[in-house]
Amino acid sequence: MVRVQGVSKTYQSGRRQVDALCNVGCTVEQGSALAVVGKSGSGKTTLLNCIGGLERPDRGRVDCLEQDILALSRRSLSLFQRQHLGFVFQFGNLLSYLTVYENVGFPLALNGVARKESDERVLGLLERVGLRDSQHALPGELSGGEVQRVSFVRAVAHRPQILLADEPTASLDSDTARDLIQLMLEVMQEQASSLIVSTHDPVVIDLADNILHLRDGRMVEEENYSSL
Amino acid sequence: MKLGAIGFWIRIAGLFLLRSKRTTAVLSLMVLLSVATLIFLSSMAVGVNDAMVRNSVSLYSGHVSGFELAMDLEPASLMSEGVVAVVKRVESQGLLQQNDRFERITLVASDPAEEVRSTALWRKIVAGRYPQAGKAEILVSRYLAERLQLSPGDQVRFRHNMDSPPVILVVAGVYRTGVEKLDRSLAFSPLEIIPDTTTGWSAAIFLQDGVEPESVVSQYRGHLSESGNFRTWRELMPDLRQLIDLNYVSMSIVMFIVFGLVALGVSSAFVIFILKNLREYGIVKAMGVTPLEICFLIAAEVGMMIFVAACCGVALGAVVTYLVGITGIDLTAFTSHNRYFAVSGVVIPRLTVYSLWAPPMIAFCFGLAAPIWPAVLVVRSRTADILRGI
Repeated sequence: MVRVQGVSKTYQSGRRQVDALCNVGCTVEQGSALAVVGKSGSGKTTLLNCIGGLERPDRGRVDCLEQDILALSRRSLSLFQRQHLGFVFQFGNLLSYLTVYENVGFPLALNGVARKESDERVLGLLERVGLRDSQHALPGELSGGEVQRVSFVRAVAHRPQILLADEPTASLDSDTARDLIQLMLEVMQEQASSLIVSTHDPVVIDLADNILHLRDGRMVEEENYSSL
Repeated sequence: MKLGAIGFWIRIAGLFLLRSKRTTAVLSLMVLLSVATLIFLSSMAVGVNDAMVRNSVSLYSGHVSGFELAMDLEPASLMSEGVVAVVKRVESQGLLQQNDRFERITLVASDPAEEVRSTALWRKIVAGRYPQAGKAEILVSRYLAERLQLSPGDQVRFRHNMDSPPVILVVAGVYRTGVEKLDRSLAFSPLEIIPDTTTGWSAAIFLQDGVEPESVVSQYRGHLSESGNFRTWRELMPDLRQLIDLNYVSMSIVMFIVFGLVALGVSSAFVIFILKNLREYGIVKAMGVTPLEICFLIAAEVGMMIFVAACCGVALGAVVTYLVGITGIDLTAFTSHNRYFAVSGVVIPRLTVYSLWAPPMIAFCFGLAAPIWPAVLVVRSRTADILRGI
């Protein structure tokens, strides 16, 4: 379960201060999916970063799996991230010097998974997204959709309990986006993981269990959800 | 970090280097050429030192000089391990007379064949030739020749003092070495021509390349404690010893300066490279890689690259030194007036443990310092800031 309470974050932009998040709160039950929606600059990515420990909020509290992640040391936070969290970024963000196979196997190796088990897991996931034949390819040799699929399987390879996806379909066409989201939800259900996804995509919004609407860093009242 | 994890990060660092072909190649080449150049330069410095020692000892003294050796001691008994030749010399003080001119000299009597084989004095003859065995001949310095107005073929008289009977000698040749001590009042003649009045003899002992004269002297002191007194060229020529030490110090300073600059270059190049690939480090941080692991990854990338490049540099430096050493480099044009190069200006570079290991060791030590800056930069940057910059 993920619980976010009164999280605020302010950035300094030149001489003025920008409220990226202002007193935001939400709860995501284990196994459910939350879609964080809002226009560009509304604070979606900042919220995901705060939940994933990539960013430290100025105020508030973030509990992931009953753990106050803001109380963790830098090293403990890294260990928590590698074991329990998975990130899917907007542009894939694969490691350019590793092959598809090595990218997907990276989090498994980090978590000390045995070679044989890791091989089975990596090849199984690549098979599932139709990229087994591209396992020796470098990211530069893949299309945008392929990169995003590899990015997704890398994020779930170590069976994280929380998956954070920052606009994972933004750079994809609608068919590829639908396939990826459905796959994402399937895998998350199999693993009983929580999914928090920031998106503009109506397909993703339709498939999510809950929706959090942000505008200028603030939560929009529930009655306004219909306007989406 | 566990041992298995260290292997994993070394593998990742290796893949990073292998697949960042151009950057790895450029940085490696910089280190490789620096190491190879410094190995060659330091072996040249050793070669220059060797040449100065060779020139200085080959004219007269040998690597080790023996004094006041008992007359019953045979030169062969000094032929221990590492000794190439022993030249027996009997020195007599006396007067050299030509008509009404007199000069006080030290006449050195030795076996001409052995002297020519072992020393280079014959190469410094400016007129005539070296005296021949069994003949009453003398080789005089140009200084003496000018003072006594001598030239080859002239007859001179040598006597130990004004009361002793003279020995008539024919001037076989005139020499000039450029070394003041040898060019003043020294003359040479074959053994047994001059009546022996001395109670001991001197030895010029020549050693193989690389044999330390101190070890030979300690052997002699062990075996021949009753007879003679042995001194190495380092004791007899403190000026040369200082010059050689100065050469080593200068070379070490050059190495540190060069590698300081190379390390700065490598460090700067890595910072640029890491800034260019900052996103990748942001991604691994987001995946839960600890600061220690990031530092280790960067250190492994730099360390592996420098290790491999330095090894290749050692091989290249050794090969170049070997090839140049076949003929040597003739620097006579720059050394002809230098007394430490009185015989030959040819410098043969020589690899030593110091010249072979110092450059790669310095490269590696500086190389370990090179990734500190990039590693701190990555660790201190916040993951979200890195990813936001994408």
